[in-house]
Amino acid sequence: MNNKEFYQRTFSQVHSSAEIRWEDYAMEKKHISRRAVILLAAAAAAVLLMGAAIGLTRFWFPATTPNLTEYSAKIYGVEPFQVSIQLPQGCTLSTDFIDPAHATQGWSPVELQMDGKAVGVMDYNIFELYPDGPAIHEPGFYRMVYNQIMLNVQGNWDNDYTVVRQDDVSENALTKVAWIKDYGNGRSDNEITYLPGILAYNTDLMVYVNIWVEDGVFTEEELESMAVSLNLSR
Amino acid sequence: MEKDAFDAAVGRYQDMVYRVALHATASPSDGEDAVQEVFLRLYTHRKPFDSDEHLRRWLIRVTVNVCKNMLKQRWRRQVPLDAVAEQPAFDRPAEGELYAAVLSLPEGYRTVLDLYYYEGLSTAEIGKLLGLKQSAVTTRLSRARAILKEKLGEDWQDE
Repeated sequence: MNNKEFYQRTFSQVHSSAEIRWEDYAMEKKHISRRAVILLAAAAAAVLLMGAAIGLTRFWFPATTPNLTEYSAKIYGVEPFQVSIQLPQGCTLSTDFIDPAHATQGWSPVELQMDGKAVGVMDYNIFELYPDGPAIHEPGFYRMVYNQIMLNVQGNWDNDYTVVRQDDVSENALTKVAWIKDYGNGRSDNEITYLPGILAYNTDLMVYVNIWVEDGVFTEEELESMAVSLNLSR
Repeated sequence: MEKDAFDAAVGRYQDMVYRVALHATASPSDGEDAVQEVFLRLYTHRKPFDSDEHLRRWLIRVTVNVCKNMLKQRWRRQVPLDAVAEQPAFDRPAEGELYAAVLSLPEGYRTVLDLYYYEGLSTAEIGKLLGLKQSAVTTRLSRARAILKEKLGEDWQDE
């Protein structure tokens, strides 16, 4: 008997005793997923804006829950994770939105503010890896991670993706967000605006963070510094 | 997912999901919790699967992710492992020794072993599933084999 046969013979004797019944899940669906909602509400209450003046700014996601339904809370609600980032002088993060439109962008938006003005939005999302997809850092891997925002037409993040930092489980990059402000009006000659974007994923946490900022607010050096410093952890 | 397809998936893959979860968590009780959570996700899954193999790999991927979250929460709860206390009855003593030896390995080694030796995935496929480089999978396999050889002696062959 070789090792594979030995292994399979052993673990074929291991069985699950859980009772999995469609009817139980159907019944559960009728009830509010209270655990997920409580988790998100607690995270929202625990939003921390630390060290805004100097050094790294730390922030916990999920930050807010304006767009979460009971269903999406269950699917997209995650165990809170921490984002740390080096923001340019005078820039802060806030969930007290200056631009009300930003409050409904994405699952859990946070507004970047400077001198009393809204200058961008940071958000998070989860992702899945697919068996037939590329391995981490291989060509196309980042598109698998960011597929939801890279397949967008109105706000497409797949432009000039440039890696600025990576390790075995994460990657940070600068990108451009092709934004069509008047998308949906049916015209084919809508103006496309390219906004600076920052992306970072972590395969241990299976989450990513995306940031867009208004064009011209930050220098290239400041954007790169933000992108390099961005870190996701628990 | 429709009831018939769901029931068929449970019948065919419940033990597989449990095996993957048991390897990931080294805890039969956490493994059973993971089974419940994984099939809940299957219940709410809206997109059709291209094939049975697609479903199988989706379940493995989701199980690994669910267990990652469970492990983080368990670390916070400081719950001790319960694998040794709940070992199943095996046909041969050597199988019980292999079971105990595998579950005593570091987490990163256990899941790789299961996916390689039981589920029959290649190191490249395992890397893609776990978000690891193929070389990292090969290294973990190699180290896990060495530990099993040391613990099991002649029952575990050199490769």
